[in-house]
Amino acid sequence: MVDTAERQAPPTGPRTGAGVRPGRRKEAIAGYVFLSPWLLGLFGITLLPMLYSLYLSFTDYDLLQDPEWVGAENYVRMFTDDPRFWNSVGTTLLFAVTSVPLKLAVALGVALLLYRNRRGVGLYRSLYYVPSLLGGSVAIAIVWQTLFGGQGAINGLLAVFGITGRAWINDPAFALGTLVILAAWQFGAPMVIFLAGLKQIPAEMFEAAALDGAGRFTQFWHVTLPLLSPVLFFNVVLETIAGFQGFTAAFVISGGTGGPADSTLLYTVYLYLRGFGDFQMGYASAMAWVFLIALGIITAFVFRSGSLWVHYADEGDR
Amino acid sequence: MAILGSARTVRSLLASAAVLAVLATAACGGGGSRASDQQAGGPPEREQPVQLEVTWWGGPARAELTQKVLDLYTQKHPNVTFTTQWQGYSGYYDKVNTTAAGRNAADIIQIDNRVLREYSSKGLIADLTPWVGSTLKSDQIDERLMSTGEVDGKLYAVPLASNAQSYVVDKTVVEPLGLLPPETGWASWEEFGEWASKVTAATGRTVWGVRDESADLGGFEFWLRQQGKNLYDGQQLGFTEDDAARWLEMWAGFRQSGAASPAEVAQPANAGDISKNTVITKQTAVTFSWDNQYTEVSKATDHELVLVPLPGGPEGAYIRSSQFFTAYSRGENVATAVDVINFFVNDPEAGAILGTERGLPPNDQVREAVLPNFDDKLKYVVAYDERVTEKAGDTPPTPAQGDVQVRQLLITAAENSGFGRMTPRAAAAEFFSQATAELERAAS
Repeated sequence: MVDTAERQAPPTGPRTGAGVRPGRRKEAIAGYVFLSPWLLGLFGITLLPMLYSLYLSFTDYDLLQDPEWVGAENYVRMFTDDPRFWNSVGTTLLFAVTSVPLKLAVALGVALLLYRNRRGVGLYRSLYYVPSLLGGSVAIAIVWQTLFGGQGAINGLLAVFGITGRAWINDPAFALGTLVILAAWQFGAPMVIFLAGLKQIPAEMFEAAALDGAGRFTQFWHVTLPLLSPVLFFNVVLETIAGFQGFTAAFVISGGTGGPADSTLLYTVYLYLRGFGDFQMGYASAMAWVFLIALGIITAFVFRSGSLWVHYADEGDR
Repeated sequence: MAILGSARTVRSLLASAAVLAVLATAACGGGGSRASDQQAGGPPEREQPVQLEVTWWGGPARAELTQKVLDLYTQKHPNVTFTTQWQGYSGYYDKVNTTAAGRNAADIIQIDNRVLREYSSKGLIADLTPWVGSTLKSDQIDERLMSTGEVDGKLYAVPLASNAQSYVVDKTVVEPLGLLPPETGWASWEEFGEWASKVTAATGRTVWGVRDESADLGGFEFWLRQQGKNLYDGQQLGFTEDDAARWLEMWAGFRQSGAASPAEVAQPANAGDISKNTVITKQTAVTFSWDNQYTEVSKATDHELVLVPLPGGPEGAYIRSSQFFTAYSRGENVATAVDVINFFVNDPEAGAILGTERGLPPNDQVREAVLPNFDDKLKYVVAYDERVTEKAGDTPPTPAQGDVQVRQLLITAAENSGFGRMTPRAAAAEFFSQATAELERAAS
C-alpha cells in the first residue's frame, strides 16, 4: 500500500530548490493543477470540517445557535454519565467482532470455489459480487427489513418446514444478528481481492506439496494460507475499519432509532441521533473524535499483530 | 500519458476546476435569509414572485390534499408558488433539524407539540404573535386549541386540526365473538384487560386482543392524567418512578394474561409508522390511534373498524392539536408564509378540501360549513371527537424540551420490559433516571 501511495505522490515541487531545471518546476506546477480538484476536496470537505469538529467537541452546539465553549464537559459526560454511550460501544464491538471474521470467511470460501478456471466461472464471480454493489444502499436494508420481519419471507420459508420463526429484526435478541448476516452477505469486495491473491500463488507450490503427500486441507493450511496472508491482512484491516463504521443498515432497519431496546444502536447511529436528533452536535463531535482515536488504536493493534502471522514470500530469501 | 501533451485538454481541465471552485463558493454562500429585511407583522407579498417551500409528515392522501390547497392558493395569488417535501413520521424531525442547521429549512414546517418548545426556544420558528388579528385570524378557533401553539404567552404555531386519542377496534373480528366493546369505552383498565384476553382466547391466539401499547407516551400520558398527574411539570417529569413502573407492570400483566400481544408483534409500530399498525396487519383487534387517522386506517384494511375511547375515566383526554404549521424564522418571506398558514386554517374552500385527514378543522365556522358535505366516515370521526372532547380534562402546557428523547426512552424501557430483558420495575428505574437527566440537559 505504501508503495502505491508513493508512486501516486505528486512531483515534490517545493523541495526541488534552485538547482532544478525549470522544466521540472513547470511539471510540478502542472502536477498540482491536476491534483487541485482532489486537494480542494481534501481541504474543503475533509480537513477543515474535521478541525472544526474538533473545536465543536469542546462546545455546547445545538446547530441553530452559536457554539458555546464548555471545555472537556462532553468527554467527561460521555465516559462517566451516559449509559447509552457504553451500550453503543459494546454493540459496535460485538458487531465488528462477529461480522468481520464471518464476512472474511465467506469471502475466502467463495474465492476458493471460484478461482480455478472452469466454464462460466466469470459469470459466477460477477453474480457473487452483486450483493456488494447493492451493499451500502438503503434499498437493500429495506429488503432485509421485509425479509426478516415477523411476517416476512424468512418466516414464510421456515413455516414450510414447520418452524415458527421469530420477529428477527424486532426482537432485541436477534436484531443485531440479522445485521451481521447482512454484512457477511456483502462479501464481494474482499472476495475479489482474495481471488487476485489466490491467482498469485504459483501452481508449482501445490504440485510440490502434493508430491510430498499433502492432502487438500494440509495444502490449504500450509501453502495457501501462508502465501495468502498478506492479502488476508489487507482485507482484515479494511474490513475492520469498515465494520466499525457500519451505519446504513442499522439505521434503516431500526427505523432510525437503533432499536429494538437499543440492540442495534451502533456507535455511528448513536452519534447521528445525538447530533441530528437531539441537537447535541458538540457531544456528537466529541463522540466522533473518540471514535477516530479508538479506531486508530484498534487499527494499530491489527497492524502490530500482522508481524506474528503475515508471511511475505521474499522474507524467506533473506 | 498522451493527454498531458494536449494544451486543449489542459485548458478545459483548468476551466472545469474553476467551475468547481465557483460552485463550491456559491454553495457556501447560498441559503442566506432575507428575513431580516422583513417587518414582523407586515403584510403578505402580493406583487413580487415568492417561492415557498412547505414540509410535512404524512402519507400520500395527505400529500394530495395539501397540494390541492397550495394550488388553490397559487390560483388566488399567482405571485406565490410552492415546492413541497413530505415523508413518514419516523426520521422527519432529523431532516428538519438538518436543513435548519444548514440555514435552509422549509418556509412552512409542520410540527407537533413534541418539538414546539425546543424549536421556539432555539429560534428556529418565527414568533407569529405580531400577525395575529391582521394576517392571521384566530377569532373562530377554540381558545384552548389555539393556546396549544403558544410558548410562554407567544404564539409560535398555528393548530391545523384537532384530534383526540382513541382505541381503534376491529369490529369484523370482535362482533362474531359477541365481544363488541361498549361504545362509550371500558370503565377501567382492568375491565379492558379482561375483555381483551377474552378476544385473544376466542380467536385461539390468531388475533391478540390489544397491541402491547406500553411504549406509547401518549397512552402513558392519558393514564397518568387519570391519576391526576401530568407528563411534565414545567421542565421536570410530572410523575414518579413508581408511576412508570406501575404502567409497565400493568402491560406486563396484560401480556401474561394474553390480553396484549407479545412485544415482538408490537415492536414494529413503536417508531410511529402508520403502515405497521397492527389492526391493519390483522395481528391485533385493538391498537392506539388518533381519531383523525381513522379514515386512513380504514382504507388500508377490508375490515370494519370502530373508535372507542381509551379505558378509564374521560379526564385522560384533552383538546389537542394534531399538528401545527409554523413559519421558519429565516424563511423567504415570513409574512406570506403566515398568510398561507391562515389560508389553511380559516378558508372554507381549503377546509372543504382538507376534510379531517389531519384532524377536525380548527375553525368553528369552517367546520360547520364543510360538515354537511363530509362522507359517513368523516362524520363518524367528527361525532367521536366531539363526544370525547366534551368531557375532556384541561389541556396540559406545551411539553418540556427533551420530550423527543423521553419518548424514545419510554420505547426502550417498554422493549426491555416486553422482551424480558429487564423487570418492569428495573426498566422503569432506568427510564426515569435517564429521562430526568435528558430534561435537565435540554434545559441548560
